[in-house]
Amino acid sequence: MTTIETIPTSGVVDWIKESGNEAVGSLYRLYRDEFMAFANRYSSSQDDRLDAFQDGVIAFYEFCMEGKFDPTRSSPKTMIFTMSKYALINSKKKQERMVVMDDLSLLPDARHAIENIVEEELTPAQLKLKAGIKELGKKCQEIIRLFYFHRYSIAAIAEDLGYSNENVVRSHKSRCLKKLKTMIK
Amino acid sequence: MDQPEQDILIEKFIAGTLTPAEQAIFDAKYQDDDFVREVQFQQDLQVAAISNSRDELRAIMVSESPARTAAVGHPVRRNLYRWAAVAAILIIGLAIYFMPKSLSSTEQIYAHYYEPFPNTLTPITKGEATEMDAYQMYEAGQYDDAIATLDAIENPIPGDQFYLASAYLARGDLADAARSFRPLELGSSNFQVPAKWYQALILIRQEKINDALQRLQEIAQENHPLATRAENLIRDLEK
Repeated sequence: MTTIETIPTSGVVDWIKESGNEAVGSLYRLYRDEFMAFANRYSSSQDDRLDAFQDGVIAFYEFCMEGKFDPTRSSPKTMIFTMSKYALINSKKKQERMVVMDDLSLLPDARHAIENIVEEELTPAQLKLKAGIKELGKKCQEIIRLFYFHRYSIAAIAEDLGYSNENVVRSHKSRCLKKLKTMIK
Repeated sequence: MDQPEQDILIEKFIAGTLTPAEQAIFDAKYQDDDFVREVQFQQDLQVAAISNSRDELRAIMVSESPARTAAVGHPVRRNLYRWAAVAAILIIGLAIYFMPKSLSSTEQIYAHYYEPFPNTLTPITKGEATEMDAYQMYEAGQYDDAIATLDAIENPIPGDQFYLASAYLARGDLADAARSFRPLELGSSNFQVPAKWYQALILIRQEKINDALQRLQEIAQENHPLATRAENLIRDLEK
């Protein structure tokens, strides 16, 4: 089985795109203990460190999926640790409404990726939709996940899910959204 | 513009792939309430879908984790301080409720109202390893060690600041305690009102009754478990 330890840094983005959720589990297993020891100086709470590390791994994953990670500028480990450290320190400060640290070691795009997760606050309408999506059928959930989270094009979704053409995907997506609107009324 | 064309326009907006010409059409359509509602709906849907996907990724990682307090992510973490503060205030409240009613000097008032704030963040549990964190040192009455540890934290959170101040106070260093409670009084964390309460007690001990009363009156206006205690203390001071 291919894991991050067996591939060159330059191939990390492709590996993550191909492996999807499995890549997240693999990154987590590989770096968790080292990050927990490293971050002990910032927080004595194991739960806080684990939460921050999870946020860092997710931010890195999204960063790679959006094609923004540049392996020539940083290793995956450095990027994950920097993002997780940022999450650990700033989520606490944000929580207590203190001044947020501006970590200059993070490039703006990377900082935006982790901030986006640390600052996630859903409105009541968004919370209803979040619950509603889970009530939809598997196919609808998959189309919504690929289009809105992974930002696949309709053509890519057609290919990935085996639809005959883009119009079939659009029409299926439209029915899913209609169902969702009825559910949350 | 027919419905399929409009759907494609919103689809491209969500994907961030509108051309300048399409963006102009999109902006013109944005005068139409139904169109705005549909765009808003899909933006909300995107936030919800992202949040669901992140939860799924967290669940994968949680399944790989050692046993922990919270099953998944944020909600429990973000409520910890609130519950800790409520629990501690209830303990203080009970202690105050059972105290003698007739008080004469400010020193007596201080002695009767002062109760060290319990360690609610990482309490010592029976059979736990001997290595203690700063909160546990505080709970064990090792105030010097707790102060040394808490004072060395580079980026203290309000909990660190509060227990540093509380350790100073428990050790009898009123000036250091007052200085350390001060930023919490001015902040908006869950420790703001307890910090104000202890600051008022310090002022009473220092015989600065008017300053203490001002803080107690502010606490009495709060929707907070310490409000009733503050009212009782005001009555005792005004006797």
